Amino acid sequence: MARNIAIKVARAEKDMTQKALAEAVGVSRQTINAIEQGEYNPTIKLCRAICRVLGKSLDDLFWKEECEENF
Amino acid sequence: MKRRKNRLDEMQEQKLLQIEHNGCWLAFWGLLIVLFVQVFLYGRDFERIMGEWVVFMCLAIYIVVSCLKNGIWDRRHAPVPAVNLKSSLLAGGVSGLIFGVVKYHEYQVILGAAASGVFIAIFVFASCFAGLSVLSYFYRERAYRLENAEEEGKEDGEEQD
Repeated sequence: MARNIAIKVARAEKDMTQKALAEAVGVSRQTINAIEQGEYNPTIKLCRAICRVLGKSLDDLFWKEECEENF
Repeated sequence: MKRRKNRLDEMQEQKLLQIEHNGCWLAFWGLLIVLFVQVFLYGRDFERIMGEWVVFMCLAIYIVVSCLKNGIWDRRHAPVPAVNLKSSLLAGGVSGLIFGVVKYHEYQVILGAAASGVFIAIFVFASCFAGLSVLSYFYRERAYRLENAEEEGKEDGEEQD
């Protein structure tokens, strides 16, 4: 799974650390780190919570133009 | 009694499930090996292995019943006679070979050991094939019912978060 740079950028724009984002969405820091590293595929519920906190849409943070993943 | 709140997030929950899954299969295969060793190598009678056997059977029955109830067969193998036949042949072959080797080690008579091995191989093969055939029939029935069940819930637009 590819790294999710969009979350990292959006987090930096809001000046938030991984820990701060994790606390805001109610998960552990290792989960946010795993999402950014592309090691964990979050549920739609967590995706929406991250988008809400970072003020972005699902497309902004989770949509990939190229079909990179095999479902 | 009120259940305590889950302290894990979704990724930790998935990891815990994976750990429990590995633990379950470790227990399953570990118990099977222990039972084989006790029966075939040490010649223990049933009373002395009853504890392990009961736990092993409970585990096996729970897995089979839960999978069938949820319309799940296997990740990679289809419930078709050809696959059931191959699996049963493998089970029969391995059991017959182990039994034959143990009997030869015990009595040093190659013909008797071979006959015992063949008998056990045929018995295990027949039991496995019959068992798998019956279970795959129940699986197909259950999967058909689950796939063709009427849609539940409210009409579109009435769902709530």
